[in-house]
Amino acid sequence: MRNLANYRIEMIASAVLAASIGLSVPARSAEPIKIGAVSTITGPFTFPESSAAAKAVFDRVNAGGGIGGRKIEYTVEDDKGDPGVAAQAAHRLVDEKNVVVNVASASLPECAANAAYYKNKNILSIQGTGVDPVCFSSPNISPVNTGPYLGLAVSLYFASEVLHKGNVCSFSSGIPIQAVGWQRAIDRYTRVTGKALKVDDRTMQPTDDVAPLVLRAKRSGCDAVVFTGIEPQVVAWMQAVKEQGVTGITWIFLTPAYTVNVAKVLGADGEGIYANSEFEPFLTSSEALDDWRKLMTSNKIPLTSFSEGGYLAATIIVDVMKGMKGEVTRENVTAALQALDTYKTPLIGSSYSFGRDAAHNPNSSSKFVQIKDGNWVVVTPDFVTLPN
Amino acid sequence: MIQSLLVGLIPGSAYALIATSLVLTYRMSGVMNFSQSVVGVFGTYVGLTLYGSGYPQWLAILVSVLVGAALSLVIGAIMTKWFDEATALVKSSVTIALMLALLALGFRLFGDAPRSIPRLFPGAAIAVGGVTFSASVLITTGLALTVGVALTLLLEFTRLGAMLRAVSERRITAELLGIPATMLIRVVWACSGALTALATTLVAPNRPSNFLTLSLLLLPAMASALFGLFRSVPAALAGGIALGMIEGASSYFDAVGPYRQAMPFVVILAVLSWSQRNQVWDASR
Repeated sequence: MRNLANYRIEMIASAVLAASIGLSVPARSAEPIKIGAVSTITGPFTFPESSAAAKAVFDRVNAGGGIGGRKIEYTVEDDKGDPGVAAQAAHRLVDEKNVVVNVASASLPECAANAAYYKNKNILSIQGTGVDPVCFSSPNISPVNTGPYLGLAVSLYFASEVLHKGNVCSFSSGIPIQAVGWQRAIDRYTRVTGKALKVDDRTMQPTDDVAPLVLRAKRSGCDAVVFTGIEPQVVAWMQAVKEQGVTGITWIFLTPAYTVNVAKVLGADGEGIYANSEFEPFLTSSEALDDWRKLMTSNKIPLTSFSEGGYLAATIIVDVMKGMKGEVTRENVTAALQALDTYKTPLIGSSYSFGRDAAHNPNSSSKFVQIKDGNWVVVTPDFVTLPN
Repeated sequence: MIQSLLVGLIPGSAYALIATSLVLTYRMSGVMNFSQSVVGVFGTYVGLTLYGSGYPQWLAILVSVLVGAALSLVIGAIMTKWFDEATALVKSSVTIALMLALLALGFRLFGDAPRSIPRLFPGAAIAVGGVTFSASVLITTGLALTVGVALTLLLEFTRLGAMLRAVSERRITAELLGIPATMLIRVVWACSGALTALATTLVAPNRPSNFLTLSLLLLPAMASALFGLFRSVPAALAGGIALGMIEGASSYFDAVGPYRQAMPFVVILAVLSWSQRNQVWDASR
């Protein structure tokens, strides 16, 4: 009996020893790098392609062994267009999952809901598609895209200074959260050019009929009109233009219009319309886009400017992480991004940066494309950059 | 100005048609049918999917009308079979539940990415004295007026209309007289579904379209039906067209433009306050 008891104690002792040795092997190097994103994947207005593109980039990095032997674990939360859900999603990512950085988020309410929380938690976010004004005026968020507000300003600038149109009119959305962004954009245009807009309409709601606004443009004698609607609103707009027989106005749209679908659905009715492309125009055969195009096609992600933004955001963070000297933790990533002053990439006209400013909108350039013979062609070989 | 009013005729006709459907189902079954517009949108989207797969437009429109009729028939059957004796509150709640279920189903089936819908009658337009009447305006308004007039004549002057009115006033008495009440009610539900699907198909190209935003056509349609207190087809028709034109005209006046959305309800308040000024409203209303 005594031998059996000793034997049992020895067994237990050696088991405990073996376990502690096993547990004390540092698991750090196998622990994945956690990256998060809060995007609007479902709901009335969705932006799913940005985080999908980032995921493709991260999957490819993981297939090649990850960063410093650590795989990237990318979690995308769907906020359904609701600020409350966006806030909960951010808490889940930051507190429960402990992500080190947010990359390629694309959402309507996310920035407004979470900017202050990110500041509290010292976590940064590289937005793939910044939409609401807070994305462009928060110290912890720096989007890769120009954004609709600077996009409006650049487009108005393009209309009056590059196309030399006299009466320039602006039709932007009446969604309350965007109001301050439009105001800043128009103020900047007025300051840079010294000209006033003929019409500054900000009444359009997402479910509205666009025909009354088209008529207003005709009535007011606009030479050029910039309309900030999303893709189906752009289609409805040009169809109303055709139906009402409005001619002689140059129509300029923001980047959501720059899709194959718009050219296809409008056909001859879309001839001559302009759109702004916040990144290197993705329908061209530019070399810079080859890798992006191949990656998106092989992952069945649509080729749009949104997927270009997600790809760019993911590429930036991978480069930053690879260049980091210390371990990849939230504090170190935040410090590395705050030290990032210039990141040159052929995909955008201005160099990307984060830094320590109170607001970030590094991409202030666009190229302009136009529908000619049913296809989008680039009309500005160099990026048009809005002066300060 | 006239152009702005005219442009409002398209959504106005759609409101009128959906409002007419609402009035019909209310009179027949005593139900305020909140699922009316979703049924129409469902039909429209099925038609759109067909059209996107290469089938001709007329076939797509026909299918969307049939799907709308079928869905509405099912809902009507549910309401008459199980909720016949229920209170108005319960009946309305059931239609709201059905609306939510259909919305969820629609999102799942069709996705929620907004679609670009091609025009139904591209290009054709007549210009009279500086004002452009596009084919869409003429056809949708013509349809709304025809339907409204035909329905009113049917209800007032034909035997079928008399039977329908009997069923809507005194259901049991009508059945005892030998009128096939249940069948009539189901036919009315099917027709109202077909009408709504047609209306939604006609107005869809004019609005940024996704499932949810098109379903919200219910609100101005109910406002139009309120013009006749859900009892009068001509009033619903007039109300719908008036509301559409008010929406179109209110963007003409820059001061009113930002309040465009509220205009229907201002008008409703005014109309009801005037037309009901001698009435006393109590719980039975």
